[in-house]
Amino acid sequence: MIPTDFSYWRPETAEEAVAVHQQLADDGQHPVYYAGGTEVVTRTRLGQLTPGAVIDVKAIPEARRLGRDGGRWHVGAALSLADLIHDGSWPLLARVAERVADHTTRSHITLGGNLAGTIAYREAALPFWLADADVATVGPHGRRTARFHDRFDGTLALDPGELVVSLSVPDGVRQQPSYAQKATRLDYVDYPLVTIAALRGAEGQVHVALSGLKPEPFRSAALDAALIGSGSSADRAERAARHLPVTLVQDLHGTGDYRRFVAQTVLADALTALEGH
Amino acid sequence: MHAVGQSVARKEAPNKVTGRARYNGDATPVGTLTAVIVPSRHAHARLRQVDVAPARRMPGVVAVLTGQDADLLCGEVLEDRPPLARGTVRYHGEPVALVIAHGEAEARAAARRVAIDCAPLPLVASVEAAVAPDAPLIHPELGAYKRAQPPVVPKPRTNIADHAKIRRGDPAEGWAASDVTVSGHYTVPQVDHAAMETRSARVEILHDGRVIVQSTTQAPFEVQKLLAQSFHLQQGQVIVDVPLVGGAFGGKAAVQLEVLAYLASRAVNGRPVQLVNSREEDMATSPVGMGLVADVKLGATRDGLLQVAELTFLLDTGAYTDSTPRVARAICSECTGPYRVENVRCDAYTVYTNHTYATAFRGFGHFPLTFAIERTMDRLAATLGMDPVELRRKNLIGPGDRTPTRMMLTRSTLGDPRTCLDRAAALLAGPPVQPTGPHTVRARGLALFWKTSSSPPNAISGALVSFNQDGSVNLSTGTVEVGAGTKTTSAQILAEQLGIDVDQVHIHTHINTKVDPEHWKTVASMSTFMAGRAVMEAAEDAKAQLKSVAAIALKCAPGDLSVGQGRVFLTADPNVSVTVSDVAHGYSYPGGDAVGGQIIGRGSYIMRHLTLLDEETGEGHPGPSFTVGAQGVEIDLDTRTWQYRVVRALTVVDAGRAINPAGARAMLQGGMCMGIGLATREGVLYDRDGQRLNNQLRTYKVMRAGEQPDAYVVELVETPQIDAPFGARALGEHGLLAMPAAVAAAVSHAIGRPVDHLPITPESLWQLSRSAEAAR
Ligand SMILES: Cc1cc2nc3c(=O)[nH]c(=O)nc-3n(C[C@H](O)[C@H](O)[C@H](O)COP(=O)(O)OP(=O)(O)OC[C@H]3O[C@@H](n4cnc5c(N)ncnc54)[C@H](O)[C@@H]3O)c2cc1C
Repeated sequence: MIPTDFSYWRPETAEEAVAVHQQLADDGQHPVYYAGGTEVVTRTRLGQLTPGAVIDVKAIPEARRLGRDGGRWHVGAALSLADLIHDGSWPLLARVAERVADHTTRSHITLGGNLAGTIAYREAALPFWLADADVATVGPHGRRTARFHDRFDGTLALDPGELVVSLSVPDGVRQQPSYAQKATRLDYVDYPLVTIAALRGAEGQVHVALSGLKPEPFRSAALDAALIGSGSSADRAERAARHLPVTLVQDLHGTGDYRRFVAQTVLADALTALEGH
Repeated sequence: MHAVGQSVARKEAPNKVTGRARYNGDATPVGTLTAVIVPSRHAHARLRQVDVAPARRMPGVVAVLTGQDADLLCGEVLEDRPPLARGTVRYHGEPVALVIAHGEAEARAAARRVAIDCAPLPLVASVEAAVAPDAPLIHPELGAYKRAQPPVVPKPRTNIADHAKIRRGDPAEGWAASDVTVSGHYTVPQVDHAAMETRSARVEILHDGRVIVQSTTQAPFEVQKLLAQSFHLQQGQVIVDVPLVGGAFGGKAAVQLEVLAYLASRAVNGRPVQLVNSREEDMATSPVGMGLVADVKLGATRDGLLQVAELTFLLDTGAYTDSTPRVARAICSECTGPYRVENVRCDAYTVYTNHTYATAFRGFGHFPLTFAIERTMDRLAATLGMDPVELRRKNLIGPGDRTPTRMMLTRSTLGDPRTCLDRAAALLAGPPVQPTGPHTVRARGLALFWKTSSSPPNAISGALVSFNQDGSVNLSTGTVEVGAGTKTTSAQILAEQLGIDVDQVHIHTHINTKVDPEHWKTVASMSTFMAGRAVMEAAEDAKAQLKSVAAIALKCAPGDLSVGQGRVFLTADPNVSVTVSDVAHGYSYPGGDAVGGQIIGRGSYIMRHLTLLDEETGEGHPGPSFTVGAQGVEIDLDTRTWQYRVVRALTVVDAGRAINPAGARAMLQGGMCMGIGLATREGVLYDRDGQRLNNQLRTYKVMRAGEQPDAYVVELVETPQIDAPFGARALGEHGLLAMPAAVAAAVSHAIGRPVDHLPITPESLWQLSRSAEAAR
């Protein structure tokens, strides 16, 4: 149970949410945005977080939008992963989302929470990182739309109190050939040893983003470059694996060495799946 | 009409599946205070100071207790455990203080304010480290501890809390007669019971002296005795009440929270106090299942006949012994597996470490034991170039043979291991390993198990039968319904004996020590046997009484009468009869005057001819009979990634007689599922400082619904155990016993290398393949 009291806020616009956040922060309330709540609740129960106030962002209409507009596909940050799987119109996103947590938890975890949370696997970020995505936020300094690339390097660089409202990708990205795979210690439902998302571009080159290797997601232009060229999938995966981070996460799910082995395997699988050889 | 042998739904099932069943922690009576444990953050440290003053000042707090307030030591076998740490903490999660407040929120908030100042002591992180020369001592006072339930043989000034032995025959002779010897080293981690319902206890001390305990225990009568003993009460003052229990697996046989809740209630003038474990507390503060390190050496002739077995087991009991010395003796009793071996030397050491303390776990030591012995049998088969099934068949123990404790076996006490093995081998037909794709293989593995109860020689059970005015029957036994269906089995036995429908038998789902007859503990798969025997006797007793009243009504001798289908009738002419309801509460003559009275059937059972094991040789009689069986699995394994999956699991077991066939199958299937979990993923983990790493279900992985094999196969062999109710053998624990060994056998075939350590994760296989490559 959560042994401390906190106040609950449910603003109806992003601006209101940010204003409430600022006010509560100024009052020393240590507010947090509350989306799916899975992380806020579980961390608070264990005493790792002690918010004096939670600001529920699920009543903000634009954070729940889903659909095409101006050649781009927009997805609200307060939609649950289960919503995105159910929608299914971007297969790569649906496939990645489907392996996050378990069914019950996926019905709560939101896209924004997955990107901005403390638990750093952020698997739902991988597809956006590969696409030419934009991220729309509202912060103390107002509204802002930026390239996802510029604000995400495994961690989303948010100002204090800044709220993610939605993300968008070019509409056509959703039809591009893609591949996703999650490798775990053994269980179907678990944190990743390695999760790979791969997208094949117009010229046939494959781009990949990986979660589980470092505390937060990982991408590397050099690694992507090494995937191009001649040789079998396995040979190119081996070359590309040289561009993985030098030290990999080592924890109860697996050692760093094993993660490197698994990463190389999934890289080869991705190439085989997207190129057929 | 037969009730025995029918697959009837469990009596409590409708309430469970609709969410109406009530468990202990479900409701908090008004006025109940909440206690919360403040756990140690260190695995081994000297307590310098526990400052509770800031917690006492928190709102809603009524009292805060520390080890200073609890001057007693607990322990089922050896009294080595203070309920609240005193002077030293010995595992991460050990209770250091207890905060009692009006509500859980206040208690938890205050618990965070208790300041524990301690000086770290050197950590004992494994059983191997614990038995090394000059290892830091976890219990310097070991020699002074009271032995509550001998036999237990502590080695003072070491970390060895107990040494149990088997000395049978002459190993030297066995080695001389052996053409081949094989040996293996095996490890099994501590594991968690992971019952769906976490442990909880509520205690109220009334002003008339009664102590009301409500808890999730499997051993209400043990709780009653222990509380009475520890706090100098009359046993009758202590009333233990247990509702349905949401899974136990041995973890709820340990008495822990009840003592803490008693201390808490005593500190607040007897007000009711409840203690409900969070999942984290249930995993790290309450006891787990022991870990094991085994060294097994077998000698055999060239044609595969076993000559000798030498076995050493180090049992990781963690910080305290609880029931582990008893587990050690259970392991000794069956240390050879179900094989004929004349020369046996076995040493089982209960070893202290700075791990969470251990208690009974489903199978009472037999799943790790079976893993060690069956892996070694496979090694022997490989060394001899013999089919593993053939090697087992050759050495199977049988009637006329003696067990390691020199118990002479009969067909009734042993059952039929040969048919179990042959049927399992037939069901598992196929090569040990075969390719199914460019880098995938299907592999098979088989293993045998046997087990007896290893229960106290004087374990007892009882049953009471009373009648309602309409002739339906009430049955009271002392077993706890932990999900095994024991109450329904007892009802079936009673219905069969009285010749009535199971629906006419009404059971108590709660156990209350004040009104229900004592049953030793709901453990060791002994409920059907012991409570069943008591129920049969109670039925006979009730029938005799019914006949003696009916004899008056029918003007005949009681011996002329039979009971069945709600009637007492003349055996020679069933048309001459009275109904049970006519006589169960006195028989009334037409004029209104009456004879007889209320009929209450009583029955009891005490174990017969069991003996404690001799300290030097292990000789003794550990249980009434054995259950033997064979288990097998098929796995699909990817030789490139080492990922694998159990696709089919099977058990052939000698059930004696299945009283509730569907119930028996479900029980065995559940056991197989648990066994696959133990084989493939489960294991308690600590970091370098002895901190518990996986104290949540997010990180301590158990099998999920979606990870089940495609098929579970259960086949029952029925060789009656003559002295058991309808011949039924124990089945409760057995589904899991050989599963880890069978999975290991299959994986070993798949990768071409022996797999000797649990759990078998893909990474562990990758590491094995790497070390093999490096050695090349
Ligand atoms: C049981 C379980 C299993 C999990 N398994 C996985 C897994 O397999 N893979 C994986 O990648 N992750 C996994 N996670 C992590 C999960 O994705 C993150 O914890 C995520 O933060 C939860 O999303 P939420 O919507 O519930 O967040 P909340 O609990 O509501 O919030 C979490 C944090 O994100 C912030 N936040 C939420 N929304 C926004 C927003 N729109 N703008 C700015 N900040 C915001 C909150 O302020 C808070 O700090 C798991 C979590 C749980 C509880």
